[in-house]
Amino acid sequence: MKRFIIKISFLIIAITTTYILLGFLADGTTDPFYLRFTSPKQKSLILGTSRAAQGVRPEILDSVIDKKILNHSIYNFAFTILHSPYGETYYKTIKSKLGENSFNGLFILSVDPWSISQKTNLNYDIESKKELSKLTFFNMNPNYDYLINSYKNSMFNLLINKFNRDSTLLLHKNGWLEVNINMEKDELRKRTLSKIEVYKENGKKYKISDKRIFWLDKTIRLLKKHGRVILVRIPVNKEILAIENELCENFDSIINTRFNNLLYLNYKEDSNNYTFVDGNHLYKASGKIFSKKLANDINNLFFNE
Amino acid sequence: MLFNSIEFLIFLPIVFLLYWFVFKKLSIQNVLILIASYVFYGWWDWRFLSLIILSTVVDYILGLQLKKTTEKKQRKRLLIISLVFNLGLLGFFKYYNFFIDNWIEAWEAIGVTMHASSLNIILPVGISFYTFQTLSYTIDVYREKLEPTKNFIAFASFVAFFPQLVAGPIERATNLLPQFYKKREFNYDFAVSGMKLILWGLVKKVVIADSCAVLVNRIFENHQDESGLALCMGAIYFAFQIYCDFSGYSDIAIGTSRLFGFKLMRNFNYPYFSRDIAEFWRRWHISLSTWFRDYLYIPLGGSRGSLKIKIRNVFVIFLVSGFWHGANWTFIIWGGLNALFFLPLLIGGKNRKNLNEVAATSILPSFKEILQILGTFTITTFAWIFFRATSLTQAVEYIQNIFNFNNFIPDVIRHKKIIPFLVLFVIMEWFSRRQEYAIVLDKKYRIVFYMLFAFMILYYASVDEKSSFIYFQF
Repeated sequence: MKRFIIKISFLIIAITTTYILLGFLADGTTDPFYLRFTSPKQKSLILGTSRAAQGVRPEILDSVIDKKILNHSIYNFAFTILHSPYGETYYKTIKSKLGENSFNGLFILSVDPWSISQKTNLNYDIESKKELSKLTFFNMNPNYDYLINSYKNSMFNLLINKFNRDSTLLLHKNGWLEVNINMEKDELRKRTLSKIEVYKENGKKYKISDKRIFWLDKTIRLLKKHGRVILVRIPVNKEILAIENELCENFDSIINTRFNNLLYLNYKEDSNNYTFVDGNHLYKASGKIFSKKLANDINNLFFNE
Repeated sequence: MLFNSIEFLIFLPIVFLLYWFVFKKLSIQNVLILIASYVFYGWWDWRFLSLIILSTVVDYILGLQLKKTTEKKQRKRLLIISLVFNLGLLGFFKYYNFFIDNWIEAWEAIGVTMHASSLNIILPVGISFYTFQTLSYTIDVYREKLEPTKNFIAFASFVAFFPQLVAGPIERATNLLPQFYKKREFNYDFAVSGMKLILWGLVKKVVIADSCAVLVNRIFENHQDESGLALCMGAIYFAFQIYCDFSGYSDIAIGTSRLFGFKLMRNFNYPYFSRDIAEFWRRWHISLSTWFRDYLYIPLGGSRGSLKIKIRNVFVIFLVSGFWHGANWTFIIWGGLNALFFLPLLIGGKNRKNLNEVAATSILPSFKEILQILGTFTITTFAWIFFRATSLTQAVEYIQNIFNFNNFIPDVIRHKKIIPFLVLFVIMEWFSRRQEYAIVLDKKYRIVFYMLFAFMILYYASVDEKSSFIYFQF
């Protein structure tokens, strides 16, 4: 028995040590989410789906927004349409990321028809089977909870990543997701067409959901206890916008009616001013311009309050 | 709890240490096994523990009642209660919607609109396995092959024994239950063999089955756009996936039980080296095949009686076996196909021809044996297409597209990674075919292999959907 225990202990210690060491190799190239669960609790957040994750740059907001409005760093805590539509999962995740005793925060919530829609062919919330729903610890570095339960690859990939860095998707420490992708005309057109097809298909499968609107409302009420809340509609290209309008023509009036006491910055008609990586997400340079505009508009809004 | 999860990696050593170092008394060890088994199962969904407990209580009481009475009618009645209860439980949770949907479709086919609602029933993990296990107990008590137990904890532990609770092997009460009465002694060699089985089972599951799963899922989902050869490869990959997934699970289950001093029955015996379909079924999912043989096939008359009776019995056992796997016509067709493959052997009296070891006296198989093995593998793989397909339509389309010779050559790049693994795996299995498992290695270099296997498991381990065991859905 003693011999067996010694051998097995050696094996368990070897495996555990390997996993612990591998955890220290995780970084912004690990996947598009990991780093967001390694940062401490936050006072101010950018929330929403991948449009916000890629299109709103916290460092720009930090530098442009007046210190009376935002006197600390804002953090991008937006994920994707599959992971963070407004719902119970995202609500709980946001709650875990918020400092309990934080006040005077700024919360920018990106909204669009997809973020409050539900897939009609599913009898469950799509995000309930994804990474966010599996987590217990949201602010731990290294976050072994995430690496063990949510990271899709083997942890040895973290080691391989060190030698074979792929910076196509690079998650920054402030939560902004940088996308480095071929922007040549032909490639861009191909990607855009493919994305339009995807969204056309999605348009057939999604429907505005009262449940999601309820959770958006609940999320707003939670955030209001911690600071100011602003709703933002991030621009997309005209074809994608047309699909969105088909999905929910009266989206803006739903928002204006339901959340009439909130500031709603609607940039849906501004697509001509920006470049998109696929029609749906702002290119990083455009994200910079958009973030600057958003920050200036926030300054104007609050000074005119 | 999954065997290939971190939770299990923590759970197993804790139970092991408590079992051997803290609770040394037999009765307490049984209580520990029972609690551990309920925790193991409850980790998935504690609500369904009530079904296991209910099934345990019912069959325990029926067993005792059977002992009390010698009257034939009364004994038969008790047996029927057990059959109705267990099969009713299984039927409701597994087949309710299947029957309702088919009932409605049948009426609609003759122009009658029916209104019946399907229920959103969750299939409790392992229900097909533990109901068969408790049934085997009651049937054996009824047949007076087994003395009914008064020890409820031992019986409950036998029903819920965590290594084999959710995906077998389906143990007979005659084999496993008596092991709960006897003091278990720690045996180093036995425990080491258990660890080797766990290691090899994980290699099969994590490295081979899960790697095949990625390609299989892609090929089956896009079967309309895939080339003919890619579809052939997809079916072959699935044959490896299901074998490595399921036999991997069985190895881990058998290995884990050895750590606690229990010996479970063997569930797989190198089935893909079978020379005919009858031999395949003697080597594949042995615990289920023998369960059907003993409790269904033989009571029906087995291979005695007229040719008509024999054929009927073969079809019954294979169709029921198919249906046991799931409430879908694909499984029934899969069972039916296997029955069809079996028939020529039965009619020709050749179904027990290959009882000896393949290439028993040589290193390599003869040319004839190679052809027989390849032939058997081809027909089983063909039948696997139905098993894997989500619907009969998909299975038929899949098979039709294999013969699309305008688009036959696949994109070879994605197959490059997996084929060397499969070749290596087949070679390892071949040279181990007389052993219990494929990693009985020479002392000199075995540590290198163990390290390599452990590294491969860690390297390939992931938390994707594919990492769940296929047989959890049955």
